[in-house]
Amino acid sequence: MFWRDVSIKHKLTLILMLTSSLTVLVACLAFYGLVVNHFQKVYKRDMNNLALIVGSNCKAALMFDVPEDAGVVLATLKGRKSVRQVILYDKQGHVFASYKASALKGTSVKEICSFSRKIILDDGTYVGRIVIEDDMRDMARGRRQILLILLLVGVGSLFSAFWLSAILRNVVSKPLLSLTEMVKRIAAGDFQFKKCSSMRGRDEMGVLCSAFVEMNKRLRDSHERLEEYNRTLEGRVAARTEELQNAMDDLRKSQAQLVQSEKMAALGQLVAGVAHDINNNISFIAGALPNIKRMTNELVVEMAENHKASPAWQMHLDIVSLLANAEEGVRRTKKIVQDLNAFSRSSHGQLVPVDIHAELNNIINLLRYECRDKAEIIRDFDPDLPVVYCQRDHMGQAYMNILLNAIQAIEKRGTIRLKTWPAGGKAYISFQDNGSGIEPEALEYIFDPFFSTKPVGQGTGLGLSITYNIVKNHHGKIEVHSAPGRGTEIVIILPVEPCKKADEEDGGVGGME
Amino acid sequence: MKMRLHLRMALVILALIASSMVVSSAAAGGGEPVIKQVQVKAVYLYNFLHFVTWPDQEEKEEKVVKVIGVLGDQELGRSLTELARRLRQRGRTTIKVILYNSYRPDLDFSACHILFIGRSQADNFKMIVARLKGRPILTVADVRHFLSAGGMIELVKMEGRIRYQVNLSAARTAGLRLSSQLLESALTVIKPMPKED
Ligand SMILES: Nc1ncnc2c1ncn2[C@@H]1O[C@H](COP(=O)(O)OP(=O)(O)O)[C@@H](O)[C@H]1O
Ligand SMILES: [Mg+2]
Repeated sequence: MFWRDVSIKHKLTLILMLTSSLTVLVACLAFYGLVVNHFQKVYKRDMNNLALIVGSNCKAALMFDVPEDAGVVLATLKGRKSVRQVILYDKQGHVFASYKASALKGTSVKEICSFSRKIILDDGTYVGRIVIEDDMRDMARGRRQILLILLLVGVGSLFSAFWLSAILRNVVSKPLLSLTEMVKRIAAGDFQFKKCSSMRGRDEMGVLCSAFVEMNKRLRDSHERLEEYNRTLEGRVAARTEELQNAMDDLRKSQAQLVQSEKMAALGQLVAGVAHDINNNISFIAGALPNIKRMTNELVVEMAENHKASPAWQMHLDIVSLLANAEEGVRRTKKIVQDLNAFSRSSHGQLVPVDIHAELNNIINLLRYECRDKAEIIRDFDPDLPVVYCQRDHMGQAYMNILLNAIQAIEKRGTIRLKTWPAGGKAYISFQDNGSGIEPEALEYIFDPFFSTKPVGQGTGLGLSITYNIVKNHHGKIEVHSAPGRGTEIVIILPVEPCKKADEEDGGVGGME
Repeated sequence: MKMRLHLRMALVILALIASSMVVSSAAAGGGEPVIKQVQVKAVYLYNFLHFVTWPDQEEKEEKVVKVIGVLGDQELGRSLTELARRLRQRGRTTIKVILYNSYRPDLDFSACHILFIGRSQADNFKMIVARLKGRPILTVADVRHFLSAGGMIELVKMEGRIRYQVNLSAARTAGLRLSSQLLESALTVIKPMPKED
């Protein structure tokens, strides 16, 4: 295990224990040395003093040669348990008196320390020498006791060091641990806690803790903001996508309208040419047909007198009906050509102030046979409707086409309501019938040329497309509201003031429902 | 230590006796409260008992009654008797005092441990000492040249105080053992010839 991998807790403990044990060891050794040294000094001084005192107490005995007295004096050392033996020598070096402690068991020579001292009188004469042999075992025992005490002190201080390190651990390591835990949780992305267990104090740990908590708060805030942003992102992307989609739709719509108008223009030219040719050819037939009719009638008058019962008479009848058919065909073809011409007619023409109410009355009058016993016309005209500048006969054709469609949509009996009103600088002209209505699928095609739901011969499919072009040329709009079985309302919206601009942005088809 | 103890004890007794005597003398009819020389001598004699060992005496027999003989000094004899009485009262080691008026050749001093020879016997002391030579009796006197005549302890008056001189060789010949402390306090000590060297 490397030192760096050891947790701070254990590092602290280790360092503390090491330093304290080292200190204690050194202190103990120093103390031991001092004490032992001191003890030895004191001991030596003591013993020397003892020798001196005992020796001087023996002076008289030596002087007057009374060994008994010396013996008595030496025997007083009995009180000192450590003294093993005392020998008093006279000046010749003979043993003068001696004392031996009774219990001598287990004393090896090594443990005996002997102190020798000359005995000298006040006048300087040498009278003898005293030798005290002392047992050092007490010293050794004392040393051992000191060692034991020092050992106890050492162990005690080690324990207290351990205890202190535990406290230190609590003071330093615990907050560190909780900090670590906190940082770990932050690292794992958990910002939900708000308190640090050890942030009470104002020491470095407290400051660190509160800094961490602050940091965490900021992290949490930014995290939450980020999450909030993420949550709303989808919605905002969706909104933006929808906007884009709408723009795309608009674009596609306007593109389709562009294509439509291009188509229309091309079709217009084509149709103009075709209409011209058909008109020429038809005029031959139309020119020939009255003559053929007249000549056939003359032929019949002649034949009637001679060959009334001949088969040719019968044929003459057939020819008459065939001619009538041809006449009808020519008439219809002319009508189609007329329509085609109207469709392809370019937008030039004089803008004149027109009273729309008068114009509408005029057209109703023209169509009175068509709607005789089918449709009741209700007029709901707003007298405030201003005069509108427009190409008079073009607009008349537009009203006509719409009214014809309304009459045709009514099967048996119904009402057609004409309503006008001004609003926002515009004139509104509404045609409302309670006829068949338009199927939703058909609704988007009704302004296309040649779109018709009516049987061949009845509908050309050009009526509404011509109307659309006319209204567009007036910078107006057409709105259609229709429900199958309930009826249809078609509203023409025209600007009251003549519009100078060649193309206006809202010149397209109005909202179709 | 034992010796010192005795010495101290002796001093205590000395003080005790002295005070008692002062009181008694004062009660007896005034006079200056001075300890008389004779009283000091008596105490000296008593104290010598403690620093001398007689040959037949065993250590433990301290309670044995010691006999002090006083020859030719009535006053000292009375003082000693008084001291003995007081000591008995206090239950101390008792002493017995024998008074001899004057020397007679038939006097046998063998009962005595200590024999004091007064000044009145100045003519006889040489003969007495000679007669007692070698016998375990501590001879004490306050006459001059006592030691040279073979006496053991001579009391000397010096600077108003009583001191003593010791003839150690005479004491040793008599088989008496004198304490080194006694010897140490002596003015002079006549030592025996050193043993063969
Ligand atoms: N008022 C109306 N009620 C019901 N259907 C209508 C009405 N106006 C127009 N339509 C429908 O629109 C189609 C196109 O009309 P139009 O262009 O006039 O052609 P046509 O009338 O010749 O069919 C008609 O075929 C019809 O289906
Ligand atoms: Mg039509």
